[in-house]
Amino acid sequence: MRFIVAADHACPVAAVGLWAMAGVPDEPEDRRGIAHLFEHMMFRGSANVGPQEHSRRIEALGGKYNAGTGIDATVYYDTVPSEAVEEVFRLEADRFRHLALTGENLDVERKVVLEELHVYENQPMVKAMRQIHRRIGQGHPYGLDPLGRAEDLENTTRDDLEAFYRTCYRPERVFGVVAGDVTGEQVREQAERHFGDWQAEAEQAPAEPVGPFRPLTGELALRVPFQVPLIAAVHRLAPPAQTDRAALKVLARLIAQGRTSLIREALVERTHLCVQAGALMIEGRHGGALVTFGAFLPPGSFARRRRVLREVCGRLAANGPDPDRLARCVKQARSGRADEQYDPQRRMFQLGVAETLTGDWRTYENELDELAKVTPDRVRALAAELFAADSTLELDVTPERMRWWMWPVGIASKLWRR
Amino acid sequence: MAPMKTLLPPIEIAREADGATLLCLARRDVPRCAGWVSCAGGQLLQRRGQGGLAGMAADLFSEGPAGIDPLAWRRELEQDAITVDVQAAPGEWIGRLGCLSEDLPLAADRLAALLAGPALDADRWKQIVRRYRGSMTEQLAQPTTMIRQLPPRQVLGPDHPNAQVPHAKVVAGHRHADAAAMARAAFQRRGPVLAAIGGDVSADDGFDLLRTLTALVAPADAPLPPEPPPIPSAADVWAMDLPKTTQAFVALSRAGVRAGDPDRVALRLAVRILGGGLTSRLMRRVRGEMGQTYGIHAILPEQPALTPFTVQTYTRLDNLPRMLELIDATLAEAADEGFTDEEADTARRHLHGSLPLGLTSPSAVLGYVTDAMRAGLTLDEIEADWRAILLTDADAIGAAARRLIGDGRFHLAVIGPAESVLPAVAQRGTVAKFRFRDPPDRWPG
Repeated sequence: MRFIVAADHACPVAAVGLWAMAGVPDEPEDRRGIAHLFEHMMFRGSANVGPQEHSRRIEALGGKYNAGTGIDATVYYDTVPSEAVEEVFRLEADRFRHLALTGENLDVERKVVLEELHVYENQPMVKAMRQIHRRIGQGHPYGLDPLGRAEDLENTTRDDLEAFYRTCYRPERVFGVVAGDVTGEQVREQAERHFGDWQAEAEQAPAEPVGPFRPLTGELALRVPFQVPLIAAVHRLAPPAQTDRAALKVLARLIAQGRTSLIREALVERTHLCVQAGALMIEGRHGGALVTFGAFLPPGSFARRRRVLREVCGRLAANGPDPDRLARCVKQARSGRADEQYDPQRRMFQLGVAETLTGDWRTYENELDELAKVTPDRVRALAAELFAADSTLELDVTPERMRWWMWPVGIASKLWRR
Repeated sequence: MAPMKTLLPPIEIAREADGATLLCLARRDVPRCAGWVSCAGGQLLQRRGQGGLAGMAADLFSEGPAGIDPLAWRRELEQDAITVDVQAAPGEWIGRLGCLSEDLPLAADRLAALLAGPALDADRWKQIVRRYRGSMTEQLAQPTTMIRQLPPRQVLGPDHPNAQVPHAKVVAGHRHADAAAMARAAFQRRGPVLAAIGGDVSADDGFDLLRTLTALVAPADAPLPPEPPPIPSAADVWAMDLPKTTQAFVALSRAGVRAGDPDRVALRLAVRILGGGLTSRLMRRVRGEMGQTYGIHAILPEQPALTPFTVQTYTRLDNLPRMLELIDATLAEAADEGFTDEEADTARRHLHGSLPLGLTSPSAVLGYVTDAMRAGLTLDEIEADWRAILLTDADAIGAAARRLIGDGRFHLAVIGPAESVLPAVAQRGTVAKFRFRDPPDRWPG
């Protein structure tokens, strides 16, 4: 088992993260959501620690803790006064190695997880995003987020969880990241003491290969429970190993970081066509998507806004960025990195995400140097690839509540106000 | 490293002849700086029907100085990775800067130019209104966001500054003249002027910069208006009808406290034990033992004006009566019997230990300190509060819980389908039913 250490002694605080490569591609097709349910079970006790006892002990140390299930990995993290790091190692090792899975705990925790799923499904915005995600995912595991499906969660048994534990929570699939007021030697010693003799119980059968995530392309119109209409473009991202990631980071900043980024300036600030615009990135080991979007108040033409968005991306693909904008992205990244230095938990997360996505945490450590080497031509080449029609889905999203007659009424009231 | 003996790193303080208090916290290992100047006001100035106005006035202020194209101003800032803006906090206006330390003089000049003469342009106002309308239309359609808007209004009444809701229909009606007037009067000496800078800067340079900024704060042309008295709703229960949802979203509330309350340490511990994390009583009983919810929290904001004490959660519709019973019983037990020594000990150690975990950056430290100073505390009192956490016994925490829970009569707000929710709440007193999409002026009195 590997540990990554980012020592910084400015504050007597340390963040410890245990990352298990247990995400949605590891879930059986009829047990979607099991990775997240399992994450909850990790707080339900182990051989030496009772249910909720992990949380109580971390609190008594003056620490904070939580866990999160992402598309590729599940992370368990504790931020504590630095003198308490050894106790964190003891507690984490105990649940990673000796989890107590009981049917009784499963019955209660399943209800909790279903409540969590329903609370998201009862938020129109989240429900809409989940619907879009499923529609464009084309049956790939990434097409359904880690919350999973209610019927699968209801059918999940203790045996299913046990099998998931044996498959995914093995030393070769878990790594640790410790950031803050620790030394490499200290982490090495504690890792050796608490995880050193951790052996998987049996050989692991080779996992079924997961193909690249290839979201739908072409054009699509959807009605979902958003409250305002929006245009979006979903651009396919190849898996990280096949992507110029430094150029991608620059490109994402160019188009959507700040009010005068290319998309926001074109759709919001100069033309007032949209009230909000930007981009979000879904990145996983098996590929992902760069989603650009603009939300507007009705009435208004989808086609016109789509055209502006297409023109912005097209110009970047044809000409590349101007050098000033490129320099600005690098400076913004430097500023953001400086801010991260203050916060051990953020550093722990960034290192863990880099390791999860690329298999090499150094991609985070070296990122600023790599960004400084990005040329306009590299950004242009990446933009040409990403924004090409055959790797893009153009999406018109209409709120479910909106009816055709609202548009003429909206136009009439706009004219009246003038 | 040995356990911490003080909560705060060394902070340099200068008290100016004009009454301003300047704070500087140097940390030279990270090449960044953040600073601000703050004056009393902000959301405190909002009155009936003005939800969102202070935030919109701050956004209007942030559009840039007079005589400069707003987009060109914004482009220059982003080119240099500089943040300069104005924010409306619950009790103050804050003019902020953030930058790499190599750009500190430039960032300070830009913040000074903004504070000295904001454009407050009517053309930009239209865009701000549209942005707020879009954003609030989406946000307030989420029941988890809406449920947070109800308790302040139920407990404090429609005139109180902390009860103003930035509903889309409300923000659409705000006028440029009102926002501009609010913005023009923002940086005035209507209470303590606090200014702080932290990061990769020397104390001398930091204080010089802060003096330049505080010199731009004008004398007050009028005092802050007094806080209106709370006027609780006559209805015990507000039932907001949201058809087709599969859960009920619940908030129980009573009048809470203001920042600087003499019992603040015991109150924080009581809230922590009741509903402050995975191991809190409410979380243990409602989630851990019964699986009735994903989250239940007790919330006691500490702001210059009165805020409600709230218990907030959600559950599936058929479970609502059982959950309300369980919450009532848990609160009653805490008021009657207080807390165990073990609960008190865990809460003390957690609060004492976790407070420094959030204070790892100069701006986090200075933000914590200026919030406390705005509530009238000194640096010594902030340190004393931290030490007092470990000295507060279970009896004092129990007394604080009794103060919060009182006679157990809470206002209840529920969002869900009326036909499912009303039978579950009918026994709790007078019920006022209204629709989820009703704007705040149609909410019950």
